[in-house]
Amino acid sequence: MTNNGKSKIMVKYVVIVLGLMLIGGAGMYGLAKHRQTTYYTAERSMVISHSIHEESASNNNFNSDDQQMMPTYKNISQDIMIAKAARKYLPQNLKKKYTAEKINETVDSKISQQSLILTMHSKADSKAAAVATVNAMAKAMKKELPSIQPGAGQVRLLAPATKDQAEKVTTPHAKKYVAVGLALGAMVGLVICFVEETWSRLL
Amino acid sequence: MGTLTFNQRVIVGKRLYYCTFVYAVVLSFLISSNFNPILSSKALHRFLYLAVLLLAVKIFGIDQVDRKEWLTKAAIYLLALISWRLAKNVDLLLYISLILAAKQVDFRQLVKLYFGTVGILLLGTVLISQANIIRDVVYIRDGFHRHSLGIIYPTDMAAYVFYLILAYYYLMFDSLTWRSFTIIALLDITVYWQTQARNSFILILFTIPVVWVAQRAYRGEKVSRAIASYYWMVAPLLAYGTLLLSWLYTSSNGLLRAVNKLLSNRLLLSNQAIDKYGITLFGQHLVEHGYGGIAGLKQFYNPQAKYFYLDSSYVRLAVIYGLIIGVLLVVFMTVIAYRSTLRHEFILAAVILLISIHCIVEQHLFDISYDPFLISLIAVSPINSNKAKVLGGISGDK
Repeated sequence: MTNNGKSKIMVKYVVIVLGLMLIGGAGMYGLAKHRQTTYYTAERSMVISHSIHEESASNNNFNSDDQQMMPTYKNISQDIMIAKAARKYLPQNLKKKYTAEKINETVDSKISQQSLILTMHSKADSKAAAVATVNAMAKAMKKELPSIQPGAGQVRLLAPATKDQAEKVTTPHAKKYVAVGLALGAMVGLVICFVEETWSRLL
Repeated sequence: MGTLTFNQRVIVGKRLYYCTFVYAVVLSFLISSNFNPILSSKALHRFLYLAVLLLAVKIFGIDQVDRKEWLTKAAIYLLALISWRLAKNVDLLLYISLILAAKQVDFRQLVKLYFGTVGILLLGTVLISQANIIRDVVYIRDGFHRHSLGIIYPTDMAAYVFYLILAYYYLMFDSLTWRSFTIIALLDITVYWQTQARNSFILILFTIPVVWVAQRAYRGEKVSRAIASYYWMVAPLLAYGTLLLSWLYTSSNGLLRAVNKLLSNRLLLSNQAIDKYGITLFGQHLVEHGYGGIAGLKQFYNPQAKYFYLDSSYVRLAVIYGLIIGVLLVVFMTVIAYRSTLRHEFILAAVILLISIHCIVEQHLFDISYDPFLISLIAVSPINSNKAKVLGGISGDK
């Protein structure tokens, strides 16, 4: 085969691969846009512990016990009772939209090992809702925990969630989808070129 | 060198190459064996630089090439040099040097040298380890005792057998019979019984249909030729696919989780490496913690120790040695396999196919004591040795 002929074939293969990359990238971009949703997140933390004064007055090591209780506090915070109490703290416009069940779905709690901090996260369709639900849940937790778990540590709320701190999250990420589309398109393109090369020159 | 005639240059170059090749194979073998406490691994690595130097003399001092070929070789050599400095590992520089310096070298002769050298070293190492002179390290997995038989790790031991079998296929291609395949299957079972190395066990068994079809294709059988003609495309697709899956891996996808389990957690480790260190164009240094050797054995039995080793040759190339040189190596593999198909010889296409599958989970693609086959890119490599002799005396294989 002449050099000119080889060059033409190479150009053809490059066009096939690039074309399929474009198709893959565009297709995945469309899919990402179709699936894309935007939500807002906010969080508020609280410390749940007995005070040092209480600890020194008794023979118990409350600090260690408090750490062991953290998973229980987390489960309590995710109970519908807390969400029902939290609903009372929501502004009127959100009260209509957010039932106790919906608040419960909106707010999640997390704890870390060796820590007395419980952090609540909310995920809602507006900044105001994300901030209001997480603050309401934190207040409800502070109020309800002593009656649900007598002898539990005192709940001290840390800085309230604000609209400025709320984060906007858009998923899935279109860039990643496009990159995957380009890569898969290139893979399909390579397979087509390799098969064509085998058929036309090797068999 | 200026006073030497063309033929004298060729003879000097060939002799220099064969000696350097055996020297590099022996040193690389010793590095991947448990001679390590007796022979310092660092010292052995330093001795490898002599091989790199001698090969550079052949590439740029002895071989007579035109300007275009010289520039191409210089560019590839420069990439390998950069990768060596950034990754702080001489293996790839040595391997690229061996490929570039192979002009006018008879590849069949080289495979014979490889087979003899590694075969003798491997047999000797097994015997020495059984005499307790060096350690036959035993790893216990799921109640099974995995013996390394003097090599750094059981899977590496099985990988040596795999590559030796490929060399045997290359040398005996036209005269392979069912008796040869049966002996290989029995050898495979014996190696698996000792090492429990699943990848090499499955792939050694898989060599039998792959090489059998290649042999029938070489003899002109139509169906076999139709199948074997596609062998050449496996290497680039697997390299690309491995990187793609490693990049895309997420534990939330059931299919990817199943593939990861099949590959003994390799996808997850590769994904973590890509996320943490990224794919690099020219190379980077990474600290790994594998289970090989005496130090690795301590890691293996330490529940606190965390395993982090990139096993896949393709991921190693992209993350540690540099994507550009990695792509070049895969292109070399593809060219070798394509040329073998074009000549209707098929054996190198079959060998490259098997190596490319092996490299998904193992790291021996550019370790000269395991894989000499990429040298056939520039060496004279027709499987007919008479033809090779004629070509070998005149010019490099193109």
